[in-house]
Amino acid sequence: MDRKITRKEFLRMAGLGAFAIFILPNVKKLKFFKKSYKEAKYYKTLAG
Amino acid sequence: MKKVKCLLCPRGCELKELERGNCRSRMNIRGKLQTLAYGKPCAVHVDPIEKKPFYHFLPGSLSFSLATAGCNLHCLYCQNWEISQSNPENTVNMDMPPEQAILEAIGNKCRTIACTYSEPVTFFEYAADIADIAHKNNILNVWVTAGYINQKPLEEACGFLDAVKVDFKGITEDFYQNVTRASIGPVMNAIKLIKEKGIWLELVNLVVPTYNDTEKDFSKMCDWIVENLGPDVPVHFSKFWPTYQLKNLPPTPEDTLILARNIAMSKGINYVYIGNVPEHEGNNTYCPVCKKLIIERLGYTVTQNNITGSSCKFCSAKIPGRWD
Repeated sequence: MDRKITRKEFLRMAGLGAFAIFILPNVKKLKFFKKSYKEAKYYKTLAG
Repeated sequence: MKKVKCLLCPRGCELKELERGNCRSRMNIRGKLQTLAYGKPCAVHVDPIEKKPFYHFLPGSLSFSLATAGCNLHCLYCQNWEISQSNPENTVNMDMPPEQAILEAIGNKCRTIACTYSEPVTFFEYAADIADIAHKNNILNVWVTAGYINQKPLEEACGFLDAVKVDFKGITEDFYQNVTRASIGPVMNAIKLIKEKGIWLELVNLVVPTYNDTEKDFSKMCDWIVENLGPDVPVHFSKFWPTYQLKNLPPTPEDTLILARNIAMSKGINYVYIGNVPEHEGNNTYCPVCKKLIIERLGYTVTQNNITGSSCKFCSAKIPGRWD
């Protein structure tokens, strides 16, 4: 029962953790930017 | 990637790729300025129009009110700072394209659509598209704004707006710089242009203790109003309530609001109201000719309306505004 976790298991768990903490909460934001922006009316492009 | 310059408000933000404007709701994406909140309101309510406040515009009617996140001012006392000082992707938003907003307004028996709570200037394109469809469906368009907008977009807005309430926050440049992080000149120009274009206009001055509550402030503001707008633009002096970054201040004393109202009336302004003080007589409209009570209000409810057509029922004096 007290066996050490392997390097592969550790990396897999760290990967899942990072996905849950950093990627999942931002999926909504990414989708938001894709769907809802619209070109503004009053602006100009600057030269240079 | 190309830099862009936003020409919507006097800030004139120059933005590099993926930089966001001061209002938080516009971003340079691949060399084009994009609005980030189009069709994504974060606040949607059906309100009495008296809440905006409009006291001379369809009294007793309902207004379908919406806002998206972001604002081009940063008032220390903002009542709605949770949405006005947020990025659009950080608020809880609804999917509401302009057509849907009109359907909701019709379904809720609203005579107007109000762009309010935050700052309509920052969602100009969304507000313009809503207004276009609203007029085709006999719904009127109103804005509740700080008036910090450039002349050209404002001229376009005047083409689709029926009434505007401008928060005339103070009368000195110092106040605007220190409390709102904006500048007074463009606001004054906007107010004058709205009046010139014949859009129904009401002004609100939130009286903040120690910031804009002296006799001199009230006098100067009223003089400017009479000189530039005439005596018939309704002016509301509203009670401040401690919030956001000015929690250290007390609420505005009622006596200060009464003083402001008295000064405004002594300068010849015909319709002066006291806001955020329910049951005060300063919520009512009195005929400037016969002095009789013509509209009585209790909170946001109209309890008595003595206007016939657009005139005082008692003496037939014409009362400016839109009444039916």
